[in-house]
Amino acid sequence: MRGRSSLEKTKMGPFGYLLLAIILVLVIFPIYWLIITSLKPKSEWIVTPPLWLPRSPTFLNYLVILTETTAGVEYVLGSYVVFKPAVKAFIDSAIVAGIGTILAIIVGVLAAFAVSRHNIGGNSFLGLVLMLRMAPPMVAIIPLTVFYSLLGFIDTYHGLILAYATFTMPYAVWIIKSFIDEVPRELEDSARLDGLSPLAAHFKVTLPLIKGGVLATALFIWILNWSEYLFALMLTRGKVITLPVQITAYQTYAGMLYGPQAALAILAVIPLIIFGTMIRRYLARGLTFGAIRR
Amino acid sequence: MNGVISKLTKVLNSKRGISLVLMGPAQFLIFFIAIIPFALEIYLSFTPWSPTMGDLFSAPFNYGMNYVKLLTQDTRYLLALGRTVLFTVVAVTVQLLLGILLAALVDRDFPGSNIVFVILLIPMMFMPVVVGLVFYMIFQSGGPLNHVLSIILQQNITIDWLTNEFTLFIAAVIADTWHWTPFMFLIALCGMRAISPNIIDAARTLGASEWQIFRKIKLPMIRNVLLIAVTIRALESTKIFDELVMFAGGRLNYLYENVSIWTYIMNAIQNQIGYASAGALIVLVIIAVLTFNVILKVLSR
Repeated sequence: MRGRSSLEKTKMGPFGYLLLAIILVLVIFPIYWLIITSLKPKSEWIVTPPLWLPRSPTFLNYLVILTETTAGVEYVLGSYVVFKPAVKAFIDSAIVAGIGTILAIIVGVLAAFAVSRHNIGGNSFLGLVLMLRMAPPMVAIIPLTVFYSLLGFIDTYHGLILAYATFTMPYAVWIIKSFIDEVPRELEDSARLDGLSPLAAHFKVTLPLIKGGVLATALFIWILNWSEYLFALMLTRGKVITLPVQITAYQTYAGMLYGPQAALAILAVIPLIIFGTMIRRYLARGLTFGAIRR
Repeated sequence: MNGVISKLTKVLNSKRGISLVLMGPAQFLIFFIAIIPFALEIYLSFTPWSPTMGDLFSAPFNYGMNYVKLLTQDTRYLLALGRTVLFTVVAVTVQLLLGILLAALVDRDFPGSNIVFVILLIPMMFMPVVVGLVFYMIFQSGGPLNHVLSIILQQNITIDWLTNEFTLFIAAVIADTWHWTPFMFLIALCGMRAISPNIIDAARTLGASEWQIFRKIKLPMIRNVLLIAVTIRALESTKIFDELVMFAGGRLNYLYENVSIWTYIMNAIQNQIGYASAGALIVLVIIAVLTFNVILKVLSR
């Protein structure tokens, strides 16, 4: 994205700066509001007019979601509500999103080699896999819930992991295929002359060359799995709790628990922003299934 | 031992072996988690099955009555379909225009452009549930949006954004636009930066204005990448669900009902699994036609 002399570029005028400033405010404001809500004590959650800065900022909301029973819990939630600590949601999300991602990447790398190097499956396989991703998750979740009940997979780690791996694998296939396509076949051919088998040539010659791309794809898929809500909502009953489900749990009939909810949302989003920023050069390629390659 | 390994290597590297090793796992996952449930769904869509009827095969075959009813009598479902289409058209158009504008603005020289680029991408990384939560708070009647409007308009504004269908629609479009304009921006910017600077230089030497360069050179040259972005966003935006659930604020009272919400209510709340299956499969057919006729071609150009 670099490498152009500044001479050729348009300069930013005062009107441009103003427009950019307005847009930046609009982009940042929701994030700002989330942060200050997470720092407000209960008495400041709902006041009119709303407080643009907490009067007495507190980390109590964070304490409440991360520990089981403290004096703070009663203060914030009222004694009648006891929530499972959100630490479990972090661990469960890490397990499900992590293993689901690794599985999707392994399966995706293999299938990408099959399509790119051996023309197995070809366009109909690519189309089918794309369909898996494009289909509304609602279509998939109705029978999957029924099927999982028959198998006893509801509310289990392996059930959610298999679902996540299957429905993010299409991204892995398409994106990793786009990386493999960029590596000249001749490299593998010359390795074959040295006595490597076709599979060994894939894994010893091509795979090391695209490992940066595979890692970026893994992070990309991990972001999707970490954020997923509908499948987790329908396929778990409380033994497995992922973060998005835990976040919605603070919206209750008894009322909104704005502070703890915002605090958990912040903690859940931080890793997404870190990893997302790390792979920002791959985001365009990822979201367009490898069609846009810069 | 060595003999066994070399034999195994030989088998694995035969034509069948390669196909099994490389494609087997993907085929297993797709078959197990997608194809079998899908077959089940087609079967269920031809029955009035609900879990209260007992086991899966206890419901009578009803000869496609679900489909007939959905497409000819069920105005609630047809309205949900219409809302989904309207949402997609409005949200994607707004996001496309804003994305192009933003890309044209950022595609120039200014101090801090790297940091601005990173900040502008952040909303895209948020999880949908949190986007829903943030905008739920912003759109409260005593929330910051009404407060700002009150200050600007110099009167007390107390719009209850999330309690009627029209303002809910506006709120959903705004939330989705905050979330996904960065994607359109990113793609448009990638497109603009791929344009050879020589072309722009030449146009400038010939006396073209910045607007002419944008209108006659940049815009036509990023058309193809924008097409990819628009098709993908259009399909993705039909799925919007998490934000709408958050907007309901924990109550099972969904005042803005698109197809996702309709299916969720039928399936998970009213337990009309057979009927919900038929409704979902109609959407799937529409999406499948679009995927194979439009998206596959756009992506593999």
